[in-house]
Amino acid sequence: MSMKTRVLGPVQVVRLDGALDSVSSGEARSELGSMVRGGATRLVIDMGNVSRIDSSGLGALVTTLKAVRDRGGELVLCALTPSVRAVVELTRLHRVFDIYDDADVAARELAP
Amino acid sequence: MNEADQLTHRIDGRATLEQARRFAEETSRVLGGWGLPADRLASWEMAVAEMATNVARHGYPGRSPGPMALQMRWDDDGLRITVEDEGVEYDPSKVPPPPDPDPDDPDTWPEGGMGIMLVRASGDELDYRRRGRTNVLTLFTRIPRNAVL
Repeated sequence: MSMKTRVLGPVQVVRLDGALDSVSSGEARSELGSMVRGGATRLVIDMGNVSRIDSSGLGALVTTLKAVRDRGGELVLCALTPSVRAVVELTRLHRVFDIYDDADVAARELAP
Repeated sequence: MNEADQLTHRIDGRATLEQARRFAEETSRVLGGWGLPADRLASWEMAVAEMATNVARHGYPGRSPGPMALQMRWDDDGLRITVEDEGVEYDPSKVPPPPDPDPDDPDTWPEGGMGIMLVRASGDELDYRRRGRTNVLTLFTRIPRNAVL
């Protein structure tokens, strides 16, 4: 899995590529945690290129969401593929994450 | 080889996270090749990832990864996906589902413990047996071959 970040004003859009699973979730959790501790508290996670997600990957996203909220920020997801959306809905986490179709729209929503 | 033989596939490996990922990828490849519905493949792939990851994480604590096998079989009554290992006894039916997350209460947002719930949601029945020293976990999906082929 790879991770690329672009900055849109006060918002950071993080694009994940590849499988967000038990092999890669530890690295994702660590890198996203570092970003949050470094002050990035308005995050858009672009899932458009996530080929597969499992419970480990979801756990990494939940951990990051909690860290962001603890700092008064917000994290949203966007561009979920049908299979990733199905997993998010099965775990009822669509009740917790705000989900957008498009990264730019999500970034505008997060800008103060 | 008769037709029934062609719709059985087994892979043997060691219980590592990398092997769990390979099992998952192989699941989609094999089941897609058998003609199972494309819109179900991601779900079965995820189920295998969860089943095998559990073994890799918890099956062989404090020792080097032991055996782990994936078997897929498509019969007249449905599809059986089985993960076997020789690790510690583990019955997923005893694992409670995570709480329904409350958007206003971060303490209810699960950071783990969702795997078995996802496995169950990917099929119709989840069966666990301890056969000698072997854990045998089977996900059955009622998808008769003659209804698809």
